[in-house]
Formats: sequence, structure tokens, C-alpha cells
Amino acid sequence: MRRRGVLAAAALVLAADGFVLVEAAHNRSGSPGAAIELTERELHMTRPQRDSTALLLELEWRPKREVFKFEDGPGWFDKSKLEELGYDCRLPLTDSSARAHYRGMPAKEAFAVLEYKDPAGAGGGPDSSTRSRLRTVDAGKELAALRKKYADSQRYLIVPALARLFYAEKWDDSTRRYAPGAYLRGAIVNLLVSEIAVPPSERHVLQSLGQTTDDYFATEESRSRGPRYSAVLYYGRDNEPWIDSCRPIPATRR
Amino acid sequence: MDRVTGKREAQQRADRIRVFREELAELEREGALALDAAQRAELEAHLQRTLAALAERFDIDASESQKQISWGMRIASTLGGLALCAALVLFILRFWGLLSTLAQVAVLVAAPLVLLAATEYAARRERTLYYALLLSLATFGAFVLNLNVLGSIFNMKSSSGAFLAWGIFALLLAYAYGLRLPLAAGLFCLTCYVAANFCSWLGWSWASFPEKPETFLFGGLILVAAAAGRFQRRYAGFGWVYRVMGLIAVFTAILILSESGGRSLLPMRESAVEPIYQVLGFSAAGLTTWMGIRTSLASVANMGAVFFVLLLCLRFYHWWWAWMPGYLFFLIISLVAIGLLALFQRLRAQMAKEALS
Repeated sequence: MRRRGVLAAAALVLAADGFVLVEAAHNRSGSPGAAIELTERELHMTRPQRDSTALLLELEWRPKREVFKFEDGPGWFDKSKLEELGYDCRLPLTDSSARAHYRGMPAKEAFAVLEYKDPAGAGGGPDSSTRSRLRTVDAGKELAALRKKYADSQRYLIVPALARLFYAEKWDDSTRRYAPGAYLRGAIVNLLVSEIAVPPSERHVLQSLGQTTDDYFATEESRSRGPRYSAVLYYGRDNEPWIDSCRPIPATRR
Repeated sequence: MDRVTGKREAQQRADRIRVFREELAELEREGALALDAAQRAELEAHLQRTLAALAERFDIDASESQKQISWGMRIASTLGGLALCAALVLFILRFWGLLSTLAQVAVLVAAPLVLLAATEYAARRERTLYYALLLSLATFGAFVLNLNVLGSIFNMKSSSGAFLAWGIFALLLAYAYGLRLPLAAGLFCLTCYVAANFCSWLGWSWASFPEKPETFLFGGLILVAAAAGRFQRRYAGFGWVYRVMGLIAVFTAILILSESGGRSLLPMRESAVEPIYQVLGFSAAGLTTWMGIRTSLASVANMGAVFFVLLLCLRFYHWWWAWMPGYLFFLIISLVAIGLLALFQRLRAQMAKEALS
């Protein structure tokens, strides 16, 4: 009995690992679904730990949920888009239980469309030279429909993500209550794969840079110098990414 | 002696012998029983032989102090296993960047297999299984690390299927060696797997399952039901692990929903959901305590009592804390505790009367 249990456990390890490897090979087989070159602004170099030798590139996109203001309104991710993703928005916002009802709704898996805007279109501001130029512009359940609508793979990345419904309302300090006029909006809260491993063949480019992106962009001088590297990002058949090549960006071209 | 087939039964027999010796000494002191020297020597020799045979076959604890040392060894094994997992994770993080992808995959695949072989070796060498427990925990940790890191090397989306693989792996370890800690880890993973798939089935992201406590109820109830299964009886303490893990899943879900109705899947207002789960919580805790007492399962009775008291304290907090002076609030809590003590005392006396009759 014990011998069989141990053999079954060993077989399970091999089977699970085999499954992962086959899945990874399947994702990278055939021609990639998307290929785009991004810079350090969009791909932040991170380490799992300070003294770790492992390197990851974290895909940065905007707008982040925490920068949202009530006055911005729902934008493109409105109630009808939420319903398209499968959220049930039938309960009127005037209902006394609407807040609890909508706030209790978990995230759903969807495809997010990230538009890669050139620096001129990214807007001004103190962080304009370091901010990511990837912006969420749409979301949907059907990948094929989104691929058809956003066919330019150099400009649009369509990636699996988590979308969430938010019950937006404004707190009125004077009355110490929420002001009327609440509305529903959605947001892309996470990408299903946001941290991308740097392959060993490309590690030398990033290893020599030393500082992680957060540390590098912390100083005014570095911010004015701009990103230090670019990388080509591919998305395969299962919409999972990988990095193919990294190259340093000379200071004059930043 | 020959009727004893497992370590649990062997330990029970050894405990009975210890109590018998104490009672025999007490009876002799009270003058209720007097054995002559020959009888005493014969009895003592028999008891010694029995204990020695039990210790030889099952490595039982023959005395109270031996039992305490065994507990210390179990705690040390658990901590050692966890520390070995942490060492493995930190080692991989430290040197990961220096390895090629092929070497990374080889290290990840080899780690759980090597540790599995080490667990088997330790189990063959030592009947107490303390080293096997330590290594089995490290093996389980290595397999968790294996799937996590392998997925991240190839930038794969995380999947609830990993919980299924981890759960089955831990159960295989647990049943192969009769270890309870890997069993608890495996049952936890399988409960998460059921909850995650329930969430997926409802149209949410599978990773949302911690936000919806009701998804744990189903898995928890399955574990409680499985505790009564015949296949558990062959393994010492496995039924207890099933019951405790199941009850924790069920009661934690009820406790959260009784406080935060907005997390419920029920198509009702938050204000209606919370009282439903409060009533359900008190009824379930009361019923569990009663069933635990009736079936002489102390773990069930204790779990029910603990959750009953927790639910009660939370209710008191919501009803009175805001307006009642702190001293009065705690006075009421202590009075309730005294009331519960009196109730349990009466129950105990009644049971003692039944046992004597």
C-alpha cells in the first residue's frame, strides 16, 4: 500500500510537470498572436527579493485603480460594458441595498485591450517621461471579436485580465454622508500574467543595470535620462506572454 | 496483544495498563485488594512483557513523560519541515538567475522527487516517523514550489488545478505514511479547489473564492461526512483531521457571513442575510456540540462549543459594546461564561450518572 502511494505521488509530480511543459510548448508553438516592443516604462524590472538573482519584468498599464476620481465618470468601462462581461446590473442604484450588493461582486476574467500610445499622446505631468504608455481602452469576453476590432498588433495588446465592478459614489465632508449620483464603473484590476520571467539568454542585458526600475526612477536625474532598456514581448496561442529579446537603450535615444 | 493492529490501539492499551497500575496501587492502599507476592510478580511480568511487545511493534509511549517528549518531537518535526521549505524557497531565489532554463526545470522536478525518496528512506529506518514527517512536509512544500515556479518560468496563467494536484499529492503522502499534517494540508487544498471551481461555475474568477465564504460550505460538509467513512478507521487520527478541517471550513464561512452578509451568494439584502447566518451559526454550533457529546467525540463537541462562544461574543459586541460601559460589558461576558460552566457541569454530572448506571 505504502509503496503504491509513494509511486503514485512520484508519478503525479512527473505528470503535473509534464502537463505544464506541454502547455508552455503549445503556447509558444506556431506564429505568436502579438509581438510588441516595449521599454522600461511599460516593463518594470523587479526582483522577488533584494538579494535574489531572479529577474522579472512587470507589465505596467494605466489607469491604475487608485488614481480614479469620482468626477472622471465611468468612461468607456460603463454599465453596458459591465453587463457585456456578465455582471448583473439590474438592481437600481437607488435601492437601499445597492451599495452592499454591488460591492460584494467578485472579479471576472476577461480580455483587456491595452493601447500603446506614443510619448506625445501620453500626456504631460511630472512623471510623463517614466509613466507607462499602455492604457486600457476596452475589454471583452471574446478574444476573436477584440482581435478583429483592434487588428493593429503593434498598437494594441489584448491580454487576459481580471475586471471588476465598482460602485462609485462621492463622500460629502460637509454632510458626512455619500452624495447622491452614484454610478457603476468597471476597471481592469489585474492582468492574469503581469510578471514575466526574463529568459537566461537575455538576463545579461538587465543584470548589468543593477537597480530595479522603482529604484532607478526614484531620482530626478534618472527620470530625465529615461528608460534604460527595451524588450520584445510576444503573446502565444494561449495568450501567455514571453520575452524574446532585450536590448539596452543608448542615453541619446531615450 | 495479538488483537492490536494499529499504533492507536497499541497506545490505548498502554494507557489502560498505566491507569490499571495506578488503580491497583490505590486499591491496595485502601485495603480493598491484596495480591500475594507471587501473584504480584506474575502480573508485573505480564504487564512488562505486554508493554515491551507494544513498544517493539508500535513504538508507543509507555509513560506520561514519554508522551510529552513525543509531542515535543512532533512540534520539532513540523517546525523543521517548514524551515526546510523556507530554506528551499530562499535557495532557489538566491541562485535562480544563474541557472539555464533547462537546469531550472531539472531542479524543480528533482526537488520533490528527491525529498520523496528521502521520506521513504526515513520511514524505513525509523518507526516513529518523526523524520518522515519533517521530510514529507518539505516534499509537499517542494511540490507547491515546483508548480508555482514552473508556471512563472513560462509565464503561465495560474489555475485552480494546482490545488487539485497539491491536494492529491498531500493525501498520497498522508495515506502512504499515516501522517496527519500532510493530510490536513491536502484537505485544505482540496477544499480550496472545490471552492474555486464553484466560483468559476458561478461565472466569477476562480481566484475570487476567498471573497465568497459560502463556496467553502460544500467542501467542508463533504469532509465532515467523509470522516465517518470506513476507510479512515485504518489510520490513527485521520477521522479526527477530516472532522476538524470540515468543521473549521463550515464554521468559518458561517462566522464571516453572519458578520458580512454582502459576501453572500444568496439573492437577498445584506440585512436579511446576516440574521439568517447568525441563527444558522447558533443552531449548527449547538447541534455540533450535542452530537459531539452523544457520539463521545470530544473534538466535535469542543469545536461546536468554541464557535458557539465566538458567535455569542460577537453578538454581544454588536448589541452592547457601543453604549455599555466597558466594565459592565465584560461583567456580562463573565456571567455568561459562568452560566455556560454551570450548564456543562450539569450535563457532565448527568453523563456520569448514566455511565455509572
